[in-house]
This record gives sequence, structure tokens and C-alpha cells, in this order.
Amino acid sequence: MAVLEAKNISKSFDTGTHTEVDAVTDMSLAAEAGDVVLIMGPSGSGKTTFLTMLGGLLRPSAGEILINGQPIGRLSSDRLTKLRRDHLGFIFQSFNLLENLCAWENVYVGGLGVKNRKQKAIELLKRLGLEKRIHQKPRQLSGGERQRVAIARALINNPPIILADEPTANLDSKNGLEVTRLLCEIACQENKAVVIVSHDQRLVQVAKRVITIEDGRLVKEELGQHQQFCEHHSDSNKS
Amino acid sequence: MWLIALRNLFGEKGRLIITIGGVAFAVMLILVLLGLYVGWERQMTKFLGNISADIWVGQAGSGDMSHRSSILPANLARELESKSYIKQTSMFIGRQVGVKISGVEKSLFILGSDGAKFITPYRLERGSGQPQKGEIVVDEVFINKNNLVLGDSITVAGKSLKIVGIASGGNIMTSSYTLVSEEDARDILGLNNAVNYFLLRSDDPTDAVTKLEKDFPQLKIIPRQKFLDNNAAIVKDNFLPIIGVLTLIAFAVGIAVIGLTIFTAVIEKSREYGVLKAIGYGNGQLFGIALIQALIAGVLGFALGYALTPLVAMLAKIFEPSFIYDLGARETSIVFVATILMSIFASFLPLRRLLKIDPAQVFKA
Repeated sequence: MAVLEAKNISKSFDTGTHTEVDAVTDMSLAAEAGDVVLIMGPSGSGKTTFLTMLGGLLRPSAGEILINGQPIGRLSSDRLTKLRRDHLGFIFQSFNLLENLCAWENVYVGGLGVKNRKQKAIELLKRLGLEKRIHQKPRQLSGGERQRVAIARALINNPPIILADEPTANLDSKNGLEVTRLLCEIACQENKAVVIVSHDQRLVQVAKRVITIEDGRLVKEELGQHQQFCEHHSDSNKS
Repeated sequence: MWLIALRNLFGEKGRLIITIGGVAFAVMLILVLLGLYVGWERQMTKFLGNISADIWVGQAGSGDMSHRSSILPANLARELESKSYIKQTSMFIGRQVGVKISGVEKSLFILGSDGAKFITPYRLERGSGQPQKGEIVVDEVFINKNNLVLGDSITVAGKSLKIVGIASGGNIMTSSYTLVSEEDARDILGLNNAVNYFLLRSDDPTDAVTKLEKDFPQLKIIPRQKFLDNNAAIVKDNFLPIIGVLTLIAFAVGIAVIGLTIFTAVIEKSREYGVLKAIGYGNGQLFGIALIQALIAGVLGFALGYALTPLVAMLAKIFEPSFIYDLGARETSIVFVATILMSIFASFLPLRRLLKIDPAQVFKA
């Protein structure tokens, strides 16, 4: 069963001159637990608008989004907020960490309502290889470390769905690969649906499916190399 | 919420200092104004409250020292003393007069001594509290403001009086109570066979007031507390509205300082608030963060303002000897509650901005 489903959703924006621009037209997507769906396309193609709608941060002009089978289109703002808190984890291109909070505190604030929050935040950071950076502020961390803190924040409330917007865009190749591997692990080991919006071709190797959109429309859907990547990394870990 | 609020507040040290300083200034202003008001209210009745009479008897229509004068024939004393419910009687001869000190007109409340039967200085600081003919006991504020010392002489209504005592607690804003001998008081005030009030003691003052009103319907019978309240009302009527307006201004300053700081912080951190909205924080929780910051700033500002106020009052007293500052736990509690209200009001200033933050903005690089 799809944990995240978009059915024929469209979004148009009023430009203020009595004309509307279609940012997304008739897009559909279904992601099951363990899926990694990569959405690719040129700048301005509507990828982020699509992801924003999937995250319940923007209401579609038409179509329907379902999270765990529940349509979210008519939910009140408060219900949507709670739904985002309980079911979604966000990873952003520019990390979006709170500057005055240290690493564990940034993870901690993502787990509103989670029991043993502090302990869980520290455990997650350790799991992501940041045990020595727990008390560092974001400005004291490298780009890769910041993105790992953001990943930990997305995971603390154990959501079934992770939405990542250009998660490797601000990272060098080494850190980009590390984040790519982590996203794959999240999907495989934690059985979460991961939807990634990116230009980064390297991410094709972790995706089960790759969707290409242009001018707000789906133009191509193909299989990614998720299986090979998982097997390769599983072998590497064994050896 | 507490964690984010604390980190945001203490993460920006410069802004925090400005906020706490601003709130402390507003709190200090309110405390000084209230202290001044309470101080004057108590001061107005300090000297009169020290006069050990249970009942004041005056001319019909009289009631306090400032608004309505009272003159009664001195021989009325015998009639009053003859009443079995009156234990002891004395007289009050006193009025404000103008005196020239170094060519400048000043005001003094000349009061005839009754040989310490009922009337004594509130507190004698130096010298004698019992003036003889040709002597005067003056208040220390009058002494300090006019650069006088014990042993100096002042001329009142053509009569030279030597300062033999310096007392405190007799300053009443526009004047100050001074004690002279009964004979000098009668000369200065022209009250040879008259007094201003009769002062009475009784074992049962309430019963005595009822009986006096019945036996002397032409006189004004005023119980001690009522007389003190009438005199305190002079401050309440004249100064409370002014002090009220100034306190409101200080209150508004406090709201503006906290509000603008929190508002600026919200604008600066609007992206972070957007992130919080995106990851599941509701508007109520974001308002909670702003509210906690405002409350902490308010409480810290109050603590600083409260600590600095006595120092400011002390400095003010050096520059102006008649400056009075008197604050009790009740007034301090009122200002603390006002500071909390100030913080709550201030946290509403960025509310509209918080509600308008679009969580989708966080996807913009």
C-alpha cells in the first residue's frame, strides 16, 4: 500500500495580472514503504512545487494527495501541521538548521511529542557519525555534517515518509555520496518512503524509480539502480 | 519551546542587553513614580499621624490642613473638658505662613507647641524638640534646601526665631511643619483667644465621636483616621492623575521596547519559524516561543530595574532634598504584575507576522 500518493494534482499561481501560470499539471505519484523516488528536471520545471504539495505545505489547485490513505486536501491548517509532525520528515537543500541551537538541540526540536527526545536525538547523531559534534552549533559544522544533523532531525519522530529537496546540492562529492548512501539506508533499513527532488545524477543510483518532469508535467518514469546500490553497499559492509 | 526561546534570547547578547536595559528603564520609571506617590501620600500624614489625638474638633466645614481653615474660640476647651467621655484635651494652633530666607519667599507651617502633651516632632534629629519663646524647631528638608544650620535665626512675621532643633518627617511638599512656643504661635498667627482645632483623647473614641456630634452639632467632629485620610487625599486628588499618566507612558515604553525586540527577532528568524512550521509546530507554539522570550526579557528587566531604583532614588535625593521615595511589597508586586502584562502585550506585536509566515518558503534555497 502506498504511504504517499498524489492523484492528478495541478497547481497554478495567479501572477497578479489576471493570468495564471501552471506550475504543476496533472502529476501523479505513489510511494510505498522502502521506496526511493527521485524527481528530476531542469530548474523551474515544478519539482519543488510538487514536493511542497506532497509535504502539505501548499494546497493543490486540483487533484488529491493521500498520506497513509488519508486525503489531506480538506484538512484544517492545525490538522495538517500535526500530520506533518507525525508522518513527514523534511530534508532541505540549505539544511535550515536553527543557528542558535547546537546539533543535538536541532534534532531535539524536530521531535515534538517524542518520548526521551534528548536521548533519541543524541543516539541518532551518533548513528550518523556525529558523536563528536553533538554540542557544536551549525556554523561550526561542515556542510556534510549539517546535512546529517538535518537528516537526524527528519528522523527523530520516526515518520513513514521523508521528503528531501536537493539534499546534495550544497555538498562536495564526498559528502554528497555519504548523504546519498544515508538516504538509501533510511529507505531500506527503516522501511520509509523517500521522495527526493534533485538535479544530482548520482542520486539515480539510490532511486527505485526516477521521474522526470518538464514544464510541470511528467515526461518520463524509469527504474533507478537502487537494488545494485544496496547490494554493493551490503557487500562492502560484509567485506 | 523553552529551549528555542532561551537560545534565541541569549544567542543575541547585544539585543538582549538592549531589551533588558529598556525594560529596566521602564520598570525603574514606574517604581520611582509609584515610590514618589506612596512616599508623598505617607509623608503628608506622617507628622499629623504622630499627633496623639483620637479626635480632631474643628469649625463646621473644616476637614484638613490645606483646603478648609478652622478657627474656634479658645474657651470652648472648658466645655469639651467637662464631658465625662473626654479623657484629655489639647489645642492645635497652626497655619502656613510666608518667610523670607535670603530674600526668597518660602512657606512654613507654624505650629504652636502644647508642651509635648499631644504634639511632638515626628523624629528629632538634632537639638531640642521643645521650643521656648523665641525658638523654633524646623524640618531637615527646609534646613538643607536653605543652607541653614542649628543656631541660625529666621524671621517669621517680624519675629526672629532661633533654630534650636532639627526634625524629620515634617516636610509636606509645599511647606514643612515647624514648632514654636504657644505664645509665639499666637503672636505670629494672630490667634490670641482662638485655636484652629481641639485635640481630644478618649477611652472609647467611636462612642465619643457620636456623643460629641450630638452635644456640639455646630462643630465638625473628625475621627483621627478620617482626618489623616482627608490630608492624604490632597496628594491623591492632585498628583495621582499626573503620576497615573506618567506610569502609563512608562508602561507603553516597556511594551514598545519588548515588543520591538521580539518583533525584530521574529522578522530576523522568520525563516527559522518557517522551518518550525514546516516540521510540525503550530501557530500557538510559535506564539509560545515569542511569549516566553518576552516574559524572560520582562522578568530580567524587572529584576534589573528593581535593583537600580533605590540607587536612582538616592541620587535624586542628593539633588533634591525633598525627593521622597517609599515603596512597599504591595507596590512592588503591582509593578511586577504590570511588567508581566507588559510582556504579554508585547508578545502580541509579532503575532500577525508569525501567522503570516509561509512554511513553504523553507524550500527556497
